[in-house]
Amino acid sequence: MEPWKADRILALAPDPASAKAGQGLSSPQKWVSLGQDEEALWGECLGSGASPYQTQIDLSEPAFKCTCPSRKFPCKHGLGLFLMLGPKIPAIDGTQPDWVKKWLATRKEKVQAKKEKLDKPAEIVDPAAQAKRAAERTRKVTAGIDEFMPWLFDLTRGGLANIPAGGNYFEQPRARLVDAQAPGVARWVGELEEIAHAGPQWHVRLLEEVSSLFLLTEAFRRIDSLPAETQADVRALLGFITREEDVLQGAPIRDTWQVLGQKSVDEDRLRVQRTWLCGVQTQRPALILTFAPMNQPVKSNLVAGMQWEADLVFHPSAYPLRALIKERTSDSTPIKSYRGYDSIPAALSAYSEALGKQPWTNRFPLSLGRASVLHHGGNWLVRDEGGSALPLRPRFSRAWELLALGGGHPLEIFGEFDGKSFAPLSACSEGEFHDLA
Amino acid sequence: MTWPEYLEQLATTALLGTELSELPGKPPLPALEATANRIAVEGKEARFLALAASSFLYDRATRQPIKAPVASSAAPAETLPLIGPGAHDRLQAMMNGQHPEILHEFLARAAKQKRRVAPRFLPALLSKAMKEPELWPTLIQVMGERGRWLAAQNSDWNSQSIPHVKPIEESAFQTGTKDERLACLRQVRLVEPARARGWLQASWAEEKPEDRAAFLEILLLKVSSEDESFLQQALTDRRREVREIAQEGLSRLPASALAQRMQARLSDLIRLTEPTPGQVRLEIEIPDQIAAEWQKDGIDTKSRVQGLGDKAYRLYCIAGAVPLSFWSSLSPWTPEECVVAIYQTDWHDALLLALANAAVRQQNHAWGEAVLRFWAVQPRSLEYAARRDRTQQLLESFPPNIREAFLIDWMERQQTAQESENSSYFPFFLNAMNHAWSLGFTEKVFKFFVRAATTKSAVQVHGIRWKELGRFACPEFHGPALELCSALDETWKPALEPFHMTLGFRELMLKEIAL
Repeated sequence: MEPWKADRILALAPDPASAKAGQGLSSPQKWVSLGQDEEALWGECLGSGASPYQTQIDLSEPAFKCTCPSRKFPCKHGLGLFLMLGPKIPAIDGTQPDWVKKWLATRKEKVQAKKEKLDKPAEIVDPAAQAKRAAERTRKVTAGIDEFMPWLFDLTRGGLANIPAGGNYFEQPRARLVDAQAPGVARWVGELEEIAHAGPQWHVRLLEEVSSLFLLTEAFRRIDSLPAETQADVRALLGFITREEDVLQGAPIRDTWQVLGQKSVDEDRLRVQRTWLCGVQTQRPALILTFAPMNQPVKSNLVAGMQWEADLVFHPSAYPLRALIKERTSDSTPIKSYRGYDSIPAALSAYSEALGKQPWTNRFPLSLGRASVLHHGGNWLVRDEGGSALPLRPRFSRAWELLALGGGHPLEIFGEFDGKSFAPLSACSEGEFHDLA
Repeated sequence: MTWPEYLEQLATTALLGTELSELPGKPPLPALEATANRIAVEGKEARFLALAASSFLYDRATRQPIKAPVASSAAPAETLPLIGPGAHDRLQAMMNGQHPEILHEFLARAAKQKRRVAPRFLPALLSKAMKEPELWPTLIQVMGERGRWLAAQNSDWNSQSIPHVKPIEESAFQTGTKDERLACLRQVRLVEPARARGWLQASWAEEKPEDRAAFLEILLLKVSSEDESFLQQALTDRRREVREIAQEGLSRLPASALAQRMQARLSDLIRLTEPTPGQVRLEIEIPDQIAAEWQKDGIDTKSRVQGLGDKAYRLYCIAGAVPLSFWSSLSPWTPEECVVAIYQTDWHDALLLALANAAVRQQNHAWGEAVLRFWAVQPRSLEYAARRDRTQQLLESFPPNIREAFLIDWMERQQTAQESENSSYFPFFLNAMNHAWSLGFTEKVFKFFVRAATTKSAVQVHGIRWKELGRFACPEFHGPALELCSALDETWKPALEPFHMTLGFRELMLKEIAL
């Protein structure tokens, strides 16, 4: 297996302090014992306690375990140990210590149990009760939307100029939608508060959002007349959750999936991590969402810049992007290059197709095969070889780094497109992946 | 109606509200109206929102790329190889805040090895060099063609990395915050001292009284006789801290009128006698009152140095600003002989401190060494802090080889010396060794330290700033140093661990750069 590079390992750190502490622990003098084989990496590190902490890493994912009391994950010991992977740690042939053996065995059992559970069709304990609960939820959401639409019309009739500045004009409808169990629309309505009176042309942006919301509520009112995939999209946007086990019943797609970019954002008391994948053979993009309570690191073993073979199952959608990993079938290796659209017009036409199928697509994964960035008239652009360009997201702070990476030569760039500007998340040049999130 | 006009009209309607304004006319694209009608048929607001939704969707779905301007030519091919991959990890660690103080050494070593750093680090390094201009000379050598190309794209970096192509304009000094102006003046002073002085002279009357000292202090960098008239003018400033800086600057110029006035005063106070043939003696008489002219040159009536009385302080002020050649002109003696003669007087504390000041100011190592060696073997008589500070300043003013030779000599004497009066000096000497230690010196220091710490030696070994010294000790000695330190007991671990961490980091870093 190709060794993990330090920057990829440090990308796993939950915060900069852990990364720094991990680097500090990445010298063998800090460890009482160390060992590695093809499967795992382990060591004992003296901490403030009487006995040393036992730290171990299952290299297949990687997965971490440490006996230290830290609530951070991976902890500094895990990171420090991982950073020493390779010649710094003596290779053990033959026997892993018992504590390592035991943990790896438990992990294998768990993976097996999960797989068995997935292979079995989900059992519904009481189909009648479940149907009744679903009907009740739909009734509540319908009532909530029926109450929300007159509010939306009142806003349109009175004019956006009547929204008081700095108030919580949107709070009441948001709270009512939460009560009506439509958290997706509720969150969307809450976000409108940030657009109102913010910056030039705010009314144009607000109208775009409000009209798109209207389209969604209208779609929900007529949901029975829509194709099944669009129904799934509408329900997901409203906040209906499809159970993981139900999603996983879908047909898996096996491919080598490249993790092209990651972004964590705080939304409505939740930290959401978006991980964008792309299949090497299928060229299909996929989005994995991982959640954690706000201000806490997202526990995820997905690392931008790595690739692995896996079975992915997509959530039902007219333009499926969101997916779940059913099973990983290989170890991780670093990405050396990735493919992308040949030109910006080709990328835009794919975006157009996505909107045609799922009109609420707000972040579109866009990878460009041969692109460069340039600084022009105080703004940053991403440019293809044919001379077509898109503006970079004004808040993107690493444009100089991207310019340095390319040096005016074309490189592979991946990012999110919101219909107006492009926010790079990674780039690949001369066989090397660079995380730009 | 054009498409942008239509969208504008939609937004205006939304802003005013559908109650007061009419719905926009037919969209430029008839199909849109049909789509909107399929979404909503009833109600003015619903129809308006349906029209807006389909229009915005159409707008996004048909978004056209911008026509990009012709890109400037790409960066030329590199001629230097990259530093090793492990070294890049070290560089990343430093940029993340681990051992940032080693960055300069890192870049210097990469430059020496004729290597360059990976492009991804260039923007951060260029920005760092904007704040720490001393990084520029080495950064230019390791940034490769890519760095030069990149710097040319950014006017801030460009003016720095390609010196003299675009000099810093005076307007940069005239505008900006106090800190920005100080940084600007400092930068210019280092390369074009006369220009920097000219700027400050021009702005002097406008500067706030409380800011003047900070600006004037920058002129102490590269002070020369050309600065004399300006410093002389500042000597009459109303603020004491301004006058002190001016006095310091003029004292560094042996040919200045101030230095000459001080020399004339000292000549009046000192007399050389020869009580017995071949044996000279210094006789010193200090007046009880001082003239107004003395005060104008910064000589206060009350002492401002702990341990010195008022009269001694006057002597100290005068002698510290006198050219060292004055002492040689008194008698054909060596600095060491002169120091011994001074020690015979009642005023030796003040005079030796003053000689140390003069040696630092005039960068005269021979006199500095004479004072330091004398202090190192003589029992301390003076207020400890004053002498300790001068010790450090003197050592820091010496070139590295003289510093090391001095401390090696001192350590050797300690091992044979009986008396232990000066054993407490070791931490102060060692803490002043802020240069790259030679391998031999590092070895001698460690052996001396470990021996002193493990035997009942009188040598003071506490108070050494090991953490900072990790930057200076020779990294090649890291392994042997670790081994030597294994003889120490556990209580040393907290003090020495940061030292070993830094030294180990440097040891690996220097190896990895060349890989």
